[in-house]
Order: sequence, then structure tokens, then C-alpha cells
Amino acid sequence: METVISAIKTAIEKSRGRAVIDEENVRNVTSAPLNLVKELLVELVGHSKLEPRFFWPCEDGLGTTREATNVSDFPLVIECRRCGKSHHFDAARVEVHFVATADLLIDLSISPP
Amino acid sequence: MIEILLDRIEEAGGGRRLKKFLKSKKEAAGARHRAFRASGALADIRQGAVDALSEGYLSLNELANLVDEIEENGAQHIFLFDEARIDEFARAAESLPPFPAGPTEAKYGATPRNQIVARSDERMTVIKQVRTVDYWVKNAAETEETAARRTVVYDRMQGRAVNLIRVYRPSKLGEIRISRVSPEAERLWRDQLLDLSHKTGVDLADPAVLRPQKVWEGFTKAVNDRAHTFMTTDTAISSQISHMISSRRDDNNSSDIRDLGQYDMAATEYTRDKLNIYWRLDDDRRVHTIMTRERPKEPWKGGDLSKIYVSERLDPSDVEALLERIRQTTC
Repeated sequence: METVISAIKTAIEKSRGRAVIDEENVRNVTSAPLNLVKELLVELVGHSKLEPRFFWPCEDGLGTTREATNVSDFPLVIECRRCGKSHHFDAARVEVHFVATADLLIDLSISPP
Repeated sequence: MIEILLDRIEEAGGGRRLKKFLKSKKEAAGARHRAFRASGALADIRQGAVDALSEGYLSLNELANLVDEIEENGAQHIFLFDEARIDEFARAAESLPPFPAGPTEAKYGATPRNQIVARSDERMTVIKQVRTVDYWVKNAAETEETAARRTVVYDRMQGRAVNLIRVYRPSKLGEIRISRVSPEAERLWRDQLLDLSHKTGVDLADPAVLRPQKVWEGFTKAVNDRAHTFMTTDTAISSQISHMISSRRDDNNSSDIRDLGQYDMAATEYTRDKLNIYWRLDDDRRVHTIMTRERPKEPWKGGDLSKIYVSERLDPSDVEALLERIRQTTC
């Protein structure tokens, strides 16, 4: 448990609050069981330390085209700034990960990005 | 006519610019607060423009100028040239019709006929083309794919394009701006460029007439110009590896990838044919560009072209400042 918390904290500190907390990545970094990582992430959301964020990835693999706090905030078509092409919304491609809340950034003495 | 002009502004995403324009008109005329609306939803602002016109606070010509300003600056592929045969362009401009005195439906309609106008003064020669372009877009809803048959449906679309050639004196610098009509028809610029060359009677493909600026040779300089740029993704190759790095946050929430310890692609051993980069203007606003080295096929004989895709609409002075910064940094 402590290893997982420490990995999340390090990621957020290193990125000055801009890290994407992704359960698979945390699991791979810490070798913790996935269900434990998931449980912990849910708990951190419950304590307002992390918040879920929806990520629409660029179809050309150039990172995130757009992120939103609600899936309904995504447009049907987007002109991707990463590849310059247009992408059509596909709910199946949207990924859900977590980002630090303002609360957590204050705890870690990081100014909000 | 006013509805046509307002449609063009709306289609070009110029609501904010129209609002700013109406506010400035109101202030300049010292109009009372309720004279016409210059704020609110787009429908309110459109009505404000209609009221301002009928009350004499603005003219159709002024509104047409606003349409020109919006359509001519941004959401374009801009090709840069470092030496233009100025006299040839000035001669071509003389043989082409002048810019019309007032707005016409033929020029400002949603699907205008292909027309070219020109003007020349001591600062520059400008040749402007307004036309309709056709392109095909895949219809995902009606496309069917089974194990035994694939039926792909494309819809024919039409879009309004405003293309410009600008050559400056005495610098002899030049640029061609081609409307990016739709992100779904990325390659339309090639045909548009050739059509523009054909219609003006100036061989734009001849490097002796218009010499392409080799902006790509300065891509690494741009990557190293941390004061004026911002990056969220980069792809480059060296003799040993190809390397792609991209932020997992979107561009609004991302930090500069060059701040990451893992980033080492500013070194001169890396080369790129494409650079996705934001440029900072003097007021620190960021303008997104995708700069590419294009290798056009025959009949283009001037070698490779530098294409700067500017994704958003900008003020004319912002585009000028942006292009100047790109030229200064990369050349």
C-alpha cells in the first residue's frame, strides 16, 4: 500500500501536478496487484485527493487530443492538435484515468498548474 | 447581403471578432448602451449587427472587410518563400481585376464561383482567389463492412476557400495562404495551389519566380528557442533511433515536454520533416502550428516547400508577427 502511495506521490511531484495516474502504469511501476491499486485509487477519489478524468487519445498515437471531466463534454468531431487530422468521437476509445485534485496539490505544496 | 456576410463570419468561427468589432463601433460612435447589442449569444450579436447597420452605425463595406480579415488570417496552410520576382507579380496583378468596391453575393456566397482579384502598392502585391472546392468525406454511418463485402460510402462536400499570394517589397519575401477547408480533406491544398498558379498566370512552381524558404532547415533552432515556443509532442530521427515523445495531458493541461528529463531531441543529431509547435506572441499568447517539409510532385519543380499550418483564426497583425518570428528563428 505504501509503495503504491509513494509511486503516485512521486509521479505527481515530478510532473508538478500534471501527471496522469493510470492504474496499469501504477501497477507496473510498483508490482502491486491490480485490485489493490484500483481499491486505493477509489479511496483517494473518495478523499478528494484524485479525480477521474476522461482522455480522448489521438488516433495517430500522439498522446491526448482532448481531456474532460465528463464524457458529454467531448464534441462529436475534433480537429486534433497533435496530428492535425480530424477524429470522430468513439466512446470505446476514451480512457479513464486520474489526476491530482487542488486539495492534493496543496498537501504536496505544489502550485496548481 | 448582411445575412450572407454574417453567415461567413459565423462559419469561420468569428463570433468573438464580430463582438469586438461591434463594441468598437459602439464606442467610436459614442452610441447609447441600448443602441444595438454587442454582447450575448451569437444570435444576439448577429441581431446587433443588423440593428447597427439599419441605424447607420456601420456599413456593409466595413462588415465585408471584417469577413476578409477573418477569412484571410488563420485556419490556413501558409507556404513561405524567401525570394519573389516582384515585377512578375506586379504585372500579373495589373492584368487581373481589382478588388471590388463593395460586397457582392458572388464573392461572399457559401459556394462562390472561382474568381481572382489583385492589388499592388509600394508595400506589397496581393492576389486573392475566392472559390468553391469539392471534396469527399467518408460517411461512417452508411459504410458497411462484413466478412465478405465492404461497401464504403463517401459524401461529396463543398466548401468556400479564400487563397492569397502576398509578395512584399523591398524584402522580396513571399507567402501563399491556402484555406484549409476541412480537416477531413487535408490534401486539398495541393490542387488549390496548382489552380492558383494556373488562374494567376504566374508559374508559382518555378523557383526563379518564387523561391521556397527552407524553414525545415531551422526546425532544430525552433526546438531550441525555448523563449518563443511551447511543445507538447515531438517526433524526430537520428542515425540510430526514431523517437516520439508526447504529453499524456491535452495541450491545455500539459507542461512543455522539453522540461522532461527524458527529452533529448533538441540536439542537432535529430532531424524532422514535421514540427508540431506553439509560438508565443509578444503578449505571451500561444499560436499552434504544424510545420512540415512538403515534397510536392510534378509539375512542381521548385523543390520542397515549407508549409505552416496555422490552426486558429487570428488578427492580421498576429499572423504577420507569427510569420516574422518563424522566419527569424528558423532561417
